[in-house]
Amino acid sequence: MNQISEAIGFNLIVISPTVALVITALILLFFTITIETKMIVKKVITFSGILVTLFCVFLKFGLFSQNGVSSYFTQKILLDEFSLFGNVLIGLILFLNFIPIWGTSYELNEKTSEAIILILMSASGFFLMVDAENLIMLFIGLEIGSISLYALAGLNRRDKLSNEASLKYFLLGSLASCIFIYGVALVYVSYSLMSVYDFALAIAYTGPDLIPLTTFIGVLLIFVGLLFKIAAAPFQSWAPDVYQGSPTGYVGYMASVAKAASFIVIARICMVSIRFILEDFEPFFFAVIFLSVLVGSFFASIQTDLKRLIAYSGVVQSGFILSGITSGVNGTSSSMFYLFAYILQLIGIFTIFSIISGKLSSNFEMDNMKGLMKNNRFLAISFCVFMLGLAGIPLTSGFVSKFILLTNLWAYEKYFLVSILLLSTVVGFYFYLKPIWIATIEKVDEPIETLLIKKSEYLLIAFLASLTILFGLLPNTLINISRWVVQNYL
Amino acid sequence: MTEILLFAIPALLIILGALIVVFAKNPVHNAMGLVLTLTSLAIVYITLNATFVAMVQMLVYAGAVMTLFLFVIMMIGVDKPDQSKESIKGQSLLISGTLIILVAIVLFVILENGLNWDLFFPESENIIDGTPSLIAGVMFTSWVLPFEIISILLIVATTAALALAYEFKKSDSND
Repeated sequence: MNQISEAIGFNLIVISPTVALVITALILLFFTITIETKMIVKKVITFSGILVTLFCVFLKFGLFSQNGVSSYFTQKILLDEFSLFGNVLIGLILFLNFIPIWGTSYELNEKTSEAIILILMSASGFFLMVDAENLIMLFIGLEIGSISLYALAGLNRRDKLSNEASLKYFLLGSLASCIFIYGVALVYVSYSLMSVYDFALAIAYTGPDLIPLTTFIGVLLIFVGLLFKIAAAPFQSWAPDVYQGSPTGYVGYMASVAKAASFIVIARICMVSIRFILEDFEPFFFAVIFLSVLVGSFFASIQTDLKRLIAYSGVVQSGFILSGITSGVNGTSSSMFYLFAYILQLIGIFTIFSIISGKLSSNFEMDNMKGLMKNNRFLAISFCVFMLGLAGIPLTSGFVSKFILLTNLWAYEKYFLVSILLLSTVVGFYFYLKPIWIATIEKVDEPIETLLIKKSEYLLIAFLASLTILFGLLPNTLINISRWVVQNYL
Repeated sequence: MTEILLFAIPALLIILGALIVVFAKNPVHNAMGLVLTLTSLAIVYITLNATFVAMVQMLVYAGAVMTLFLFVIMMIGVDKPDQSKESIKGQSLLISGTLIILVAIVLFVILENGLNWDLFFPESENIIDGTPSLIAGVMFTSWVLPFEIISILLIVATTAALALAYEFKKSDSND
């Protein structure tokens, strides 16, 4: 027995975050279908499960310091800097989103436990996805995560937009998964292996001239599947509808977790698997970045619904992060910084939206923001901080991340790309400042209802806003972390 | 001779089943035609030494998928008149175009190489066994983690389907 588990590289610590989340979800499921349990008990179970998950991520750091970059379960699970960074990111997203997620699920009444179970399971899937060395493992993780998100989008059955969002997300997402798995099959056809590390060795062994065409098509299709998840143009069409239709309290989690996991995987594939043939994919990535920035900026400028606006701004931000990842080591490290800063702002913004518009609501017109300054000064100011952070105004983390990214791109002599990204930043000022104008300066005549905010929500928003400013003033820690992620490839 | 017979009879049954699927008016007959095709295909797999695939074919397609089809037919009802109107514009044109291209490719291959049976049945030196024991040997050692993780996927799918489909009657009356 021991010999077998040794031979296959069995290690419980390396999959412990997933296991912890799944066990928490199963306990919740058990309580839901058997014993009548109070909500507070379920809340305690969920929260302690998330804390245990964070502790498991901490344990993985111990394993890493002991073994270094290593693979387990006969090359299925990988432990490297990318996977650790991804683990921290997803654990953090789950932890920070706990308050809006619980509030939203609580309002769903009879479906509270199901919603929480789906969220925990989706996080476990994305943990597996960032850990995966084998492409099949990656696919299974992606599917576990995505299927839960499809259902989360449509949990509010009484809202037609929510149903539409769920169906659209499901159909388009399944199509993207099909394309992804077809790409995996083509890669397998060319080298009969599916490990992201061995893939690079096989390419190096073959030599750049003799690489079969199926490899290129396969890798391209894998990228299409992943780019769909991060909503980069031309695969962005689902994002605005899904963001708009889904229950507002869930959107922060849904948007950030899928993006974080997919970006980590794309970064690993670019840095490790195809590092010898990355130049061949440059036209493809350039087209994607160019289209993302163009389409995102244009459509974000003409939106009246704030959730749709954030969705299109997400398309632009995806273009930014992608431009760093696909250009080299320093670019990837600055993209990791960007990703971290962006996700904090995204969670903050959607928490504010869920407070103002109600957690289950779908539409969120820009006029809802009117009079926010009179109503609640704290919310208005933190909203401004997050929006300015997304726009990239100095003194926020958004400025630092854009600055580092663009200087790195300049060093790679990608002048055209830099000028496009700079132009889109200028356009961005327009659509990011418009909601701020409406929220703070524009006059309102009607009387305003006072907003009900819990103390925990105050605490969360204050924490996220202060982090946004802190990383803008003292970015050194985060820069060091993002450089540590790529240290092996310098 | 036995080899050709073992191939020819299931092959003819496959085509017969496919024709029934296309031409039968009654939906239940269509479904039964599909069962015939899938089962005969399983026999072909066995002759190709792929016993595991044959079993999966029987279990998944002839078993699970066909049951699903019959459920759908049961719920919709058999006596609905069949709609001959095309739902997507230019559907029949597209399909016939694809068919013509497919036939052209097959004809091209035959004309290029002659009617060469080796092309359809390539002589293989090392026969790979697709036996369940061989697959189990891999699945429970090096692929054990993905195999176990798929169970999580099943739980997620079930929970998601339940959460979406299940609705209390009381909340419906509020609309």
